[in-house]
Amino acid sequence: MVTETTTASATRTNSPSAQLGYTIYAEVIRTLRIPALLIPSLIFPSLFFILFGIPNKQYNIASANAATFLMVSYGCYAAMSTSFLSFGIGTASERGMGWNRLLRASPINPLYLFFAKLVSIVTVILLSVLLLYVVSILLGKVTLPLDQWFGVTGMLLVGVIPFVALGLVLGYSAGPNSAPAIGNLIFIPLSFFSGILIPVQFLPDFARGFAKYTPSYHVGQLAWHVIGAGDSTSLFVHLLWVAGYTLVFVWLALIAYRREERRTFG
Amino acid sequence: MAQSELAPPIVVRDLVKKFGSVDALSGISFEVASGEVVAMLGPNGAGKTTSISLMLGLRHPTSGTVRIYGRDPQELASRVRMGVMLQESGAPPTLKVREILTWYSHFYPQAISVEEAIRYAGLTEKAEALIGTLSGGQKQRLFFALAVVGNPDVIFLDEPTVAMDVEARHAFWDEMRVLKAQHKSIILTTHYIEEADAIADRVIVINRGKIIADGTPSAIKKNVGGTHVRFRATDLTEAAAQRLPGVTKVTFTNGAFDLYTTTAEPTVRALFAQSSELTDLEVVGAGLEEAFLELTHN
Repeated sequence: MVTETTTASATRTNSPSAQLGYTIYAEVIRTLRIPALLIPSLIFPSLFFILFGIPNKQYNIASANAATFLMVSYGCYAAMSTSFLSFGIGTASERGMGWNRLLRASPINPLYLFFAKLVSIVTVILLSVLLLYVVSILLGKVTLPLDQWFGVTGMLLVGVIPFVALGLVLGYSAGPNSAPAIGNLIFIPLSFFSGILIPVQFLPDFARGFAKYTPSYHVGQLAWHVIGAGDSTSLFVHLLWVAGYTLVFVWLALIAYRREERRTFG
Repeated sequence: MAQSELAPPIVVRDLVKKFGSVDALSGISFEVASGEVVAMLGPNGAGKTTSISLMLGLRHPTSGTVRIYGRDPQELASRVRMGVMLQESGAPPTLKVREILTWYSHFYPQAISVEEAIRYAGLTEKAEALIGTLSGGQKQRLFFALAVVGNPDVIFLDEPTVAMDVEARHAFWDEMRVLKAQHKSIILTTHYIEEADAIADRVIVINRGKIIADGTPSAIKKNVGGTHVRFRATDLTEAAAQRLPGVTKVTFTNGAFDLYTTTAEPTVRALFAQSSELTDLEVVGAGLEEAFLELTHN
């Protein structure tokens, strides 16, 4: 067990890109090995499409084919739920662990780790959306021009940004045990009353007025605009809403983060 | 760089830490030299973990300074020379032992090979296992591997053997001796007195946020009276025992005397002269445990 021959190997300085690269690799495989995160992320969007998209494929919503419209909606759901819930619950549970203290005492760059988490979440989202597209094409007979497939996917990734920030607000405010409950308490109404899970047209009156002020509605509009099913407001205005929400969430996350820093590392 | 090479591995100066109105540390100072093994000993809540947190830069001192090779512990140049093992760390359960060590080693310019760290920690058979499947003892070994994979010059261990059985603890002490032979500085907290006695060059006893003793284990033992003399005698009073040469402390229960003395020989000689009914005489060096209890109860 104890070797007397332990010696230092020759000094080998790993480049920052090698450090970042391995951090991303480790974080992605770590995430892909968590079934509790991976399975709901992969299955729910496609399941929603099978339950609601396929039966409605002969109808239209917002002058687009209903199946196509709903595929885009559930893509938004995939992007938002995975980024919000895994960042929120993940951050809250790691905060409670001594592991965070050990990392802080190490020379591991925390920005690399944050970036690696972002990459791993985007990887899960892309896998989930890819599965959704395959199901939509094969079972829902959805067709889109190639540029629109990429356009929709790009908008979904824009939607990741405010929800990662919102996830951090949750992660730095809620405790490790309460975060999943609080997260779902925020997220489920947010996705219902914003036109993501149920198109705005089918929401009750009070909710329809409310929807236009939610971040998820504007993320949805960005993606629906790509397939020509957006509302009358311009794409630019929706981008402004998303940017505004991002700023607010980042600001709140910073407040929560600093308070947590003072408490744990002050 | 030249300047920081001359600086000692750890310098702690007048360190004060308050949590609200509670004084966790009220002004501690010490230095740790190259290749020195220092045990911080103290009861729970004495300030050992707070001291370690401040030395690692995990918390900010209310006043006072910590320097690692002349630098702030939060600087990257300090971090790459520090190896750390904390209490109840936890680690990502879905990473493999080899993966987490490879990841860690990427950030240390002088890292030993991952194979070596795995072998060193006795985890060869578990190298491909997910961390979540390791037993408590194996996890502790993994944290030890994480502390040494960067080939650090100064190693901090917060209660490293708390979850270990006797055999594992002895194996761990052997590893400490190997690290010491490599001129690494080690500072560990413990409340096992036996542990401090077995591996430390120096013991810092800390109680209620203050250093109450700092010296070699034998010096600390000497401090409290050096030797322990036990006997039974029916013709001696407690007051008479107290007057024997060299005696610093007497306890008397059910006919059995318990004396602490600075030097045993004159005490025992005088004892034979005064008592003819002496039985069950025992002369033993006071243990660190007794020294510790004595120090922390005053």
